[in-house]
Amino acid sequence: MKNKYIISLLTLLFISNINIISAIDIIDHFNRHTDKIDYSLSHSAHFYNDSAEKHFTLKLLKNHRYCNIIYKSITSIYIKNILFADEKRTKTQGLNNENPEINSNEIEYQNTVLIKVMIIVLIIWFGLSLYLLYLHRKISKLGKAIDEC
Amino acid sequence: MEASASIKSVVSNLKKEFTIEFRNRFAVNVALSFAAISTIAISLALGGIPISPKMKAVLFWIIMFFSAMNGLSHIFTREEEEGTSLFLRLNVTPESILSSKLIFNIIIFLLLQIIITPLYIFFLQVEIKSIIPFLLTLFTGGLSLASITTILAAIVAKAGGKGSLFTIISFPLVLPVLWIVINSTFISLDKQNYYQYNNLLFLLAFSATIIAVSFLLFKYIWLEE
Amino acid sequence: MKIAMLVYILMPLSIILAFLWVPPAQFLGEASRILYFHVPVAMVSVIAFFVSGIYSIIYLYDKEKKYKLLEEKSFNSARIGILFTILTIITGSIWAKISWGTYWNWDPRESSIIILLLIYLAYFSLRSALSNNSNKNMLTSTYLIFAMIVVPFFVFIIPRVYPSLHPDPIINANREINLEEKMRLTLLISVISFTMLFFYIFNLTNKLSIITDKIEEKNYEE
Repeated sequence: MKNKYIISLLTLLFISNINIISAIDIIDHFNRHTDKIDYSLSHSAHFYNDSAEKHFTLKLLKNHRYCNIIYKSITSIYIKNILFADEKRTKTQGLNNENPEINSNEIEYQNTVLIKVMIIVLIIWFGLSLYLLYLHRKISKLGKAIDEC
Repeated sequence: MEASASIKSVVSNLKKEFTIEFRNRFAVNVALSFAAISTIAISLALGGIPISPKMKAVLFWIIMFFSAMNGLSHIFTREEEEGTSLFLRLNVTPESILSSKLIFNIIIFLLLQIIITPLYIFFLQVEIKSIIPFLLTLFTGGLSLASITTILAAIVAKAGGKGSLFTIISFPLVLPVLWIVINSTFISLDKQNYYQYNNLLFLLAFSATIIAVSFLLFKYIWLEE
Repeated sequence: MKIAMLVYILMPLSIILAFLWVPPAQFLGEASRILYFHVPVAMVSVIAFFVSGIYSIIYLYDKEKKYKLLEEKSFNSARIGILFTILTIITGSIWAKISWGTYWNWDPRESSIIILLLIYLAYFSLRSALSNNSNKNMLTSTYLIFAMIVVPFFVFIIPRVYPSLHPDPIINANREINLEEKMRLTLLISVISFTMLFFYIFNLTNKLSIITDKIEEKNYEE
């Protein structure tokens, strides 16, 4: 029983990666504006115009809202599936149903293995998202530095 | 006319290399001493305990590999240290330089093998069951090692040639050669009348490819812009 | 940034497919799910290596300097490559520990990944040792081209030496697993999403190189 909650918690953490993605998306939009400005000395500061900035921030908030909706719906589907996961697993592996004790031991072991695998992939996925975030921030910082020159 | 001029320049370069090297015999001495000391140290440490033929093959090629690392990079680093590389760059074509240094390295490495192998057989009581495959393996293995270390020595010489940079760079590229040659030596030590030459063909193909690509790429390493 | 959108859609999709949709494999159980992350990461590390090599070849051929910053791009690809190689080794050894009990077995596949790691490390050491040299780009490009030539030789050793080593349990198990439709589809989507991720990170690092180069030019002019 305890394992089920651990598994659902881990899946929530997985899905929360989408929030990191939406943060990256915000910075990515910022980059796209600096993309349109050529990295040359003679540009005009379009981007630092107030109304343009407001319009831009509204767009970003809308995107963020969509991401949150997707995130909540996927989480609910996920949790629903996890709660029925045990019966699914016995059917697909075709385990022998004559010994219920061996079945539950087997399920417990497979659950722990699944948790281990999820933790590994979670760490990798988090690491990669953070690296992407770092790259985006560095590009936007340096892009600003060039624009100000 | 051009072909004979280039062969002449290769031969004269080669003569010059041999003269310089045997004037103070630095590289050959270092490599030979290293190989001899390692062999004696291993034999002493084992103290007469018998080891399997696979282990003997492995140890032999490890000694050969590290003596190559010690001795074969000298040929280019010497040019940089003594300042003669500029003179060479101006007067001789890159292809003839590479040919002469390659031939020199191959001959030195084969010399090393000729001296160390009897020593190794003597100190570690190695029994060779099929002699001709063993000798052929020595020759082709030496050829591959020498050809790859020459071009990498050229790269490392430009980087100052200090410390173990040469070993770090050569090890990944020499590893396939080592794997095949250890396997082949082990077979020739273990089985009698074993005449399968797949491994040797692989080593010859490897040396030929490496030498061909070295000739294509040497001028990018040697000439500075 | 169309690649970015593709990555942001395909990556969560592949994670969800790998953990929810695909049934666990017959003999390996739940541990087989690591397959859908281990294989793409290994493929990306090899792709990164060949991308580096190709940029090095173009750099040596491009005498008129038509394309800029080719050597920096090859360095960026190598940087991503070594990251993914380390990830491959970590996921592979953890999978081996879960399934077979030992972390490392010196199987042919594992050895070739170690060789790739050593080549990357040698490339970075060479690059840092040459940092003051004016000819640095040429030398590191030639080294990478040599490495690119040696790697296929090593890949062809594997079938040759194969009978003398114990059979690779992962390779054999793969041949049994990959018969189901669902698994094949998930693996395909995983491979595509990780490849897109590689090109995405590559684009970003290239942008960073271009910007840094422009800043240095401006500082130099001033």
